[in-house]
Amino acid sequence: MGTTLRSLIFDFAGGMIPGKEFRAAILGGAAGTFIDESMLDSETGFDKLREKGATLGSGAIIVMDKEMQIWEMLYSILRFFEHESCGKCVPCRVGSRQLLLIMEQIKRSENSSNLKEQLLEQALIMEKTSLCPLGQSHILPIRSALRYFDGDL
Amino acid sequence: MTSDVTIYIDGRKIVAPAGQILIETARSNGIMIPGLCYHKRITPTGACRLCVCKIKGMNGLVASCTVRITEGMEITAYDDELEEARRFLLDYLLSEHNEEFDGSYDDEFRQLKKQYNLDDPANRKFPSIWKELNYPVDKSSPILAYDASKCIKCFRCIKACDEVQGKNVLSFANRGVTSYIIAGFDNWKESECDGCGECIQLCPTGAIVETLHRDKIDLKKIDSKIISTCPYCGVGCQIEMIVQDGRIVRVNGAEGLPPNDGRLCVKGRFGYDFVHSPERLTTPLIKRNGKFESASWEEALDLIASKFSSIKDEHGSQALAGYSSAKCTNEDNYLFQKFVRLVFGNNNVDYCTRLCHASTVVAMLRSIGDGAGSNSIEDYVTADCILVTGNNMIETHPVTATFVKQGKKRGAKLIVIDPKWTPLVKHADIWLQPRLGSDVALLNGMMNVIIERGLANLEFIENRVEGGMESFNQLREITRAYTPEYTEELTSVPAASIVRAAILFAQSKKSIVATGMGLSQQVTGTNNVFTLINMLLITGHLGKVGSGINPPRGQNNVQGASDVGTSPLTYPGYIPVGNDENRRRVAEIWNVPYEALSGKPGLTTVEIMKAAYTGEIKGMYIMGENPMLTDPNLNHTEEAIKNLEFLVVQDIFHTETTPFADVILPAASFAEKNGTFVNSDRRVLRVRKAVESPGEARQDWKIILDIAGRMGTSLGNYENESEIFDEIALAAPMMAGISFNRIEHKGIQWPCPDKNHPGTSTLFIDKFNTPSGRAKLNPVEHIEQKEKADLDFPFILNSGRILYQYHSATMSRKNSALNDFSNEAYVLMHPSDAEKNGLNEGITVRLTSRRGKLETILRISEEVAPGELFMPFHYCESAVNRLTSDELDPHSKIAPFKLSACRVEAVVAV
Repeated sequence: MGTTLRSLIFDFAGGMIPGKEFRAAILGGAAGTFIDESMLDSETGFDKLREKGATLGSGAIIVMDKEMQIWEMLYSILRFFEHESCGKCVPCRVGSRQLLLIMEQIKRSENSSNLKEQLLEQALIMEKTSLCPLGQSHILPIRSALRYFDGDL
Repeated sequence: MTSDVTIYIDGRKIVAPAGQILIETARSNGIMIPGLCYHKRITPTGACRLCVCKIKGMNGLVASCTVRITEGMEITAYDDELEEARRFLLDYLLSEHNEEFDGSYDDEFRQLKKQYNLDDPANRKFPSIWKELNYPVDKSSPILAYDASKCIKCFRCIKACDEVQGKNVLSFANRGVTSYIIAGFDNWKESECDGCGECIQLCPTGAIVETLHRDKIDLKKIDSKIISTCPYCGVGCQIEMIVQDGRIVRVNGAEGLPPNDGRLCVKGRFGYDFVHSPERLTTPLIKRNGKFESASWEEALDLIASKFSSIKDEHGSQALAGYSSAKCTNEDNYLFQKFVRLVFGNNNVDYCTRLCHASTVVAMLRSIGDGAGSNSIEDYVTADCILVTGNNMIETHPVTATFVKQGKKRGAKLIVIDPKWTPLVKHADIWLQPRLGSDVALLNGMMNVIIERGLANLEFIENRVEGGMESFNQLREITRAYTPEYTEELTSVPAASIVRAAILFAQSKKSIVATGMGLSQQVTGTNNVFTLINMLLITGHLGKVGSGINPPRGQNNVQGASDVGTSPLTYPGYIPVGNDENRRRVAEIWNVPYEALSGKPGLTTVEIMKAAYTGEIKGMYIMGENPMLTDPNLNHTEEAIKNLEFLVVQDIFHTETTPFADVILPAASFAEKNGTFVNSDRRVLRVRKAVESPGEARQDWKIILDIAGRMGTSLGNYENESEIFDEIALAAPMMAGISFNRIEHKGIQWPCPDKNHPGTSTLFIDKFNTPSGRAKLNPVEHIEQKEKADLDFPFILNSGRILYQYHSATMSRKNSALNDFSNEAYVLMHPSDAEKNGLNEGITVRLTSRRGKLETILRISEEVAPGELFMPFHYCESAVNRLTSDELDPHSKIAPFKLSACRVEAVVAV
């Protein structure tokens, strides 16, 4: 705790593979938050990261280089959620699938700002109404991806 | 007792019981928070999330079906954010939902869709996805179809099956958005679904709908919804008949009413088509030259009156007798017995109870003073130990069994005593499987354990049993010999199991007994029940809520017919015909001279047939009974019935008995009648007319009055059934306080001695209904059966009922829904016996007893013990009563349907 993300990734974990450049990281596993380079000097810690809109979650950190498409990553997380949804409560069961449909539309569309709003809106209501933390989790990667990588989506 | 708390919903102050579920509190106060997965008969699920609300002090939105109220709780049920969330969720649901609607079912989802302006697709936000999900449809069940594309996965069907019915057949397949409901391993027909249809009743969207009449049902065209009492077994389930175009098109369980609170079984829900069967009798028929010809009512009634009168003139009043019916109302039965006593002038009136619980009633009357169940159906839920003996309850009283299963789930221990495996054994902690006919020995053996281990309740014996310790010591003397080891020899039940069951029964705080035909339909029937009552008395398990003896009655109104005096031995209210004071009282009510009432006990059911055989009975009036299938030793019965000079059969169908009639009268069915039935827990319940009778069929009670009138006797002037009941209340003291207006909403349990009495849910709380107020021990010894297996007849045949048919099947077999489940006679044989005798599954076999023979299909099954057989008794083509004996129980005159020595041979195809 207290170590900066930069130190954690570049010192302790050995940094990027030679020739690869840091682009983004996801903190806290799939139900976590995207960050970009601007966050690297933040100190790790539950409260400290929460203040900046990120999560430490399970402590897992996934690092992505410049070649990684944020859409791909977000889509893959949402597909994972859909797969994991048990189906008991309506928002998570239906929402998990509807979010994927929007993601596919985003990929195909020229101007996706309206779609991205829908993505956010649905994930927010899912968060409010879902029975368990799974349906409440979609919002985390979506909101943070849009915060740092809106242009990529 | 729970205390009340004050809560505030949208600022409104509400006082409600602490711990109540919030959505229930809101709805019962008119605040209709939407919700699709919540149903008050099941535990909360929290799946649909439509009932979200805000509660001060709690984070975020909370599903109001998953919160219990506490003092001072402040709730927001409606604001823009909540309504937006609800609309959003409904919109989500719509996207995975097939909205086709054929108008045949109530659709709660459809109503909400309208309420939230989502029926216009323009108001929706989400693309429809249900088609690409390729949801399956399961149409394999005989009674319902499941369409996953209309399913909102609310869990209500699963919980209906599991929590309400205790069957646990339904579950989910897959997960997430592709999940759907499956029965068993994803095939309804092959699953253990027994067709009760509870899932249909609780489905909020029409994903599960019955197939019966679905093509015809249009809820917009419904004429009426009539609450009445089920015409099948004696549970007395309250049903709601949906009538369209003058026909019943659906039956639902009536929710919120005792005894069933909405539950039904397959017969109650799907067994109503007989009412509109084209086979219904529609005109009087008179036999001329061996053939039945239609006749006018005038002609038929005149003929009956003149024939009965001439028999009476020629041979005296003892030459006539009547069979009344457990399927008819109290009003019909009351007037029938009044008819026999006043018009025939004797007491020769009886009905099928003689063949069913007569021995139970005799034993109970002699030991504890009342022949009816001592408890209420809901007591099975609160008991600590439930003993079910000789009662295949899941099949014969399916809704009572749901209460037993709930008790079991609550933590009660369940002991089943039955020579044959029954589905209840699956739920049992202990199953004792005695040899057929060894019940007295087994129960004496259990009492031996209880007494010798010091588990008898001596305080109860001192205070509540006649003769106290002295009587107890006499019982002890008799049971002393029945050590567990000796009892094992007699019954083949392992000694250790006897000990275990006895200790469990005695030591449980509240033990309750349900007894059935297995105990009663034996030559030793009365002794069996005496022994059972002895065991209850020495353990003190009588006269308490949750403790007692209960014989669930086999037919809708067996209880009531006896209550209102359809008996050769007792007047209305179980007062012996020989009691002079009572005869005077009844004569006064009936406005006849005391001398007009015979004080001589009449003949019982089988005795009447025996008297017909010997020519003492010349004429018979049979209302709604079918002795040519249900009486024992049918070959003898057939000869007896042929020997009658004149026979009138009044029924709704041709039966196995009608061919022997001289006149057949077409009667109204339960759905065409007003009146009352009494169920197994003594509850007087309303029967209400839903449809018109076919053709010229008439009310039973009106026919009885007409015949009486033509024979010169007025039985009374009754405007309607309510007036008849008022007379019953005068005649039968235990119903004195009951009238139609008091039972308009729900039934009342007798005894109800006056207009302000609430009825009695548990008998014998303070005293027993005997002259001394104390119960009587009746110790009995095990007696060897006269009917024994030997080299010629090596098997012992048991007979009984199955879930899908009812009594002589006159009604049940007219329903395709029930026949689809089971419509073929069979005999069960243990695999070892089949192997020994070289008999294969499915072959036709001939069964021969000392009385007769029949052919049927062989089914090999471990449900029966080696050396024993079982046959259902419903099927006329293989009428098991061709084989049974009419050797009667000396106390109750019941016949031993449960025990006939037989041989079994393969029928070689010619």
